[in-house]
Amino acid sequence: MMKFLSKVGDYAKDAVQAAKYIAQGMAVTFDHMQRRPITVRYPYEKLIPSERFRGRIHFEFDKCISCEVCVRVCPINLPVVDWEYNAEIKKKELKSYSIDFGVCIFCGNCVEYCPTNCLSMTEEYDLSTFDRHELNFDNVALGRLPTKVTDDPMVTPLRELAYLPKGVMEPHAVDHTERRAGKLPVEIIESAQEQSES
Amino acid sequence: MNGIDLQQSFVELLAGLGLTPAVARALWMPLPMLLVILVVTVGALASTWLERKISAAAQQRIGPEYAGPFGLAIPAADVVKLLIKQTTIPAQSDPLLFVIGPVIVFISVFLSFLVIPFGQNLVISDVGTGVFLVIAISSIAPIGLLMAGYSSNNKYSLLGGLRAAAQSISYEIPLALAALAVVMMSNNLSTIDIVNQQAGLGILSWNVWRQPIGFVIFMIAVLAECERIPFDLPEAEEELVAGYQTEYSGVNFMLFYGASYANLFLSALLVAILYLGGWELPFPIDRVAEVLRIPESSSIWQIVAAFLGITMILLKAFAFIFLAILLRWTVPRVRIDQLLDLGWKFLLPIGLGNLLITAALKLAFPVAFGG
Amino acid sequence: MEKIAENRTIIQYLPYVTRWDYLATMFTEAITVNAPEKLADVPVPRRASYIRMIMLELSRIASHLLWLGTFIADIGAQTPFFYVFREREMIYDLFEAATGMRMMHNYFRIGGVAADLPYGWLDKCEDYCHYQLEKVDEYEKLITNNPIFRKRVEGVGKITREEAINWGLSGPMLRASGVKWDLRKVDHYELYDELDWELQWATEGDCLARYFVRVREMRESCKMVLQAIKQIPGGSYENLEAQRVLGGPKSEWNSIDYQFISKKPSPTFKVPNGEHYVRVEAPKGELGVYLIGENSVFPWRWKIRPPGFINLQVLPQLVRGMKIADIMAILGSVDIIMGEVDR
Repeated sequence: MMKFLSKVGDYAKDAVQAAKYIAQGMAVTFDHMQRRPITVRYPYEKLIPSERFRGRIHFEFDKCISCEVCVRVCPINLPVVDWEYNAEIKKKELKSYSIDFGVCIFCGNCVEYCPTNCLSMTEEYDLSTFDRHELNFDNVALGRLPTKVTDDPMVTPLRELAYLPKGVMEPHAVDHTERRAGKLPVEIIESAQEQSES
Repeated sequence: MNGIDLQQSFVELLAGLGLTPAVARALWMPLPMLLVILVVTVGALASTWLERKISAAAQQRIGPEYAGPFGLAIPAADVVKLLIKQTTIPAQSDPLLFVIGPVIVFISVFLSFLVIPFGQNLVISDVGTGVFLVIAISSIAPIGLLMAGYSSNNKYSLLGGLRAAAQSISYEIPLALAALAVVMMSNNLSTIDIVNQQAGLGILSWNVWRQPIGFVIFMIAVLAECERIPFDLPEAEEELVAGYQTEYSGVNFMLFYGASYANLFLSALLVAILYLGGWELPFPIDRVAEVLRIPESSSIWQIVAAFLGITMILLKAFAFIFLAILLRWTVPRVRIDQLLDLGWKFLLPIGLGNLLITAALKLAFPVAFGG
Repeated sequence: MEKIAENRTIIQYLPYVTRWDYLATMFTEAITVNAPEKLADVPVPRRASYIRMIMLELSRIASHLLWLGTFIADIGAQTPFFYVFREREMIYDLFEAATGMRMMHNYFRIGGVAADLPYGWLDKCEDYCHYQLEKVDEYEKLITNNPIFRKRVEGVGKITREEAINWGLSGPMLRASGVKWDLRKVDHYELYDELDWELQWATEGDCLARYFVRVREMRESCKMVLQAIKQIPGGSYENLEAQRVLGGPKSEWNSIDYQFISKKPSPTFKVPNGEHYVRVEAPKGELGVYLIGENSVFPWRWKIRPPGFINLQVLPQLVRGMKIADIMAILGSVDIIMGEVDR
């Protein structure tokens, strides 16, 4: 009889334990209900792409020397460099340059290895079109600049974690113009010089 | 305690207009049914909205936001979308059973609302076998699920249907045992009498205090009956795609979906009626009337009391729904053998024990436990 | 992927590799640069190595986070999935600021990394690690002791020590079976020896043990990143720049230790003659590359040893005799990425 009762007691203890831990879990989910949603409501709020963001490639026609390094470092040799040798000035003359962004994977190799910096990456990432051929940008289309998120009056710009002030974990909590974490090198130099003077 | 008798006044009104009482009564009959169907539909839709909003809040999301104020139009949009969607019936299926399945589930759930009272007289029919009727009718639903699972001619559907049947049958028993203990205390199966028996001392006289174990058993069993996480095995999407619903679309799917939320609403109302004092306020309302020196039979007081009663029962029901939703978004799913273990080896013996203890207490303290 | 590697230079091939295991992207890049680096004896500056370690550990946290979300979702609880995505998003924000992309970084280079960390980055990274440590506690509160979770995973999918070794398992799968084997400790690559950290392991070998190993590894990785932030030569980027200006052109701050890359690889970087096997401890296990070079710009052979593929082999014998629902729990605890299983 005692054995049976102790068994019942263990059983009850287990049940209470289980209930306790489920309640503990529910306390966590319940606590989340009062926290601010972290959602970025996309068309109305947009994240500001980071400074190094690798978006659509920008191309400056006049800087290009038709060296074709971009073609050689590209994983699929994607850029089309159409040039002709001009015998008079003994230089290659660029006729047209195009990149098909339907194929490009935005790895940034071409930008990194371009000797004249005529290629650069913009912050444009929404490239959707109705026809995939429209994604084949020629040198005119490549020369256009994208609109900034911060300039768009319809959009509330939000910053990504790395650009928030120290200690702030949520972009909604601060305005996007507030200073981000970290000092500028200039400021460190100034404070170091002040210290050495005093 | 009489409450207002709407039927009586309606019949009298029509009789005053020159109709015979029999015709007047016949005219009265469809009104409460329509009303209840409306209330149940709205309740189920509200539950789906709550599900979305609460899950969103628990996951630090926003949830439906732009469809109407706070996304309230989302359930309506859901219904419209599912109504205009094409209903496909798989080629290799059994078309008749395939269509009947969801209908049976839907009707059986809605039928149970026959005996759910929202107030002293706000009930379609005060059947003498009230609680028994609900339990009996809710046993029909698994037949529909089984039909759906079998007729889909899909192994996931069949597994889901079988799981649904096994689950419903095993949890029916602890459910009935828990309800039986309550019935034993009120000496009556009628839902109205069960609530009335909990009146008197306000929150203190509710059955939760007299039946704590029964309350827990009933809650668990009712969650299992509703097929909600942690007991949503019939439609465990990681394992069985969507269980018996896999092949359903359009209106047929809506019937399942609606029935599952109506079932949740029904269960919540049952919990409120059996354990939380139904439409009774947390404080005895009659005393308030006495203190305020309002004659209990005055019509304004009656209307206010009825209104408060409806609010209370809905509040209690939605409190339970809230708990069920929060639980759903907190815990993982149990395994089928663990589920049956819990039903047969844990809830059943405890339910029986609870029944025995209730009987003993009833004999020992007839005053507190309804002699 | 292996055939693609054989007709690409390493530079051209680097953007591809993040597609193997697209949830622990830094590791695939690390192994891709480590292999030719070691074959050609390219030195890696200490600062670059520290940056690499920070990135690798962040990537490990991201991978384990996603594993946690999907594992619990497989068992039936959807909510932790959203919580882990909240944190993972922060890691990817950090990655985006440093590398320019959230997932397909193309950040590691032969002899270092592509660029130094942006200013303020280390501060936010520190913020993140403290935040993450708190959140791991919260997950544990939500999940670890939940009786339903315990019942679903305890004793399910047991792998003994011998079996784990015989099947060639690696990573948390192996460590959960009681083998203290972590390539960071075994191979001493990068500068992991300079950090004070402990190997996480368990002996039970079931799904629960794997869960514990991974959750503890998340904590450990956070601590490692915090240490690395403190110890990184030159400190934050802004400090380094300021010191360089203050110190003038001949200052010690311009020495090799404080560079983020030893020498920028030329587009015609040649894989020298020779063959060898290089491996790193990826979040899923041992990620290795067997490289044969023949002094040309293309590697002659590039054999990938993906941890997910080899860990997946054990699944059939684990699920034998179990219930359907257990398949989900076991498969979830193995932690596979189809990108590297069928690469």
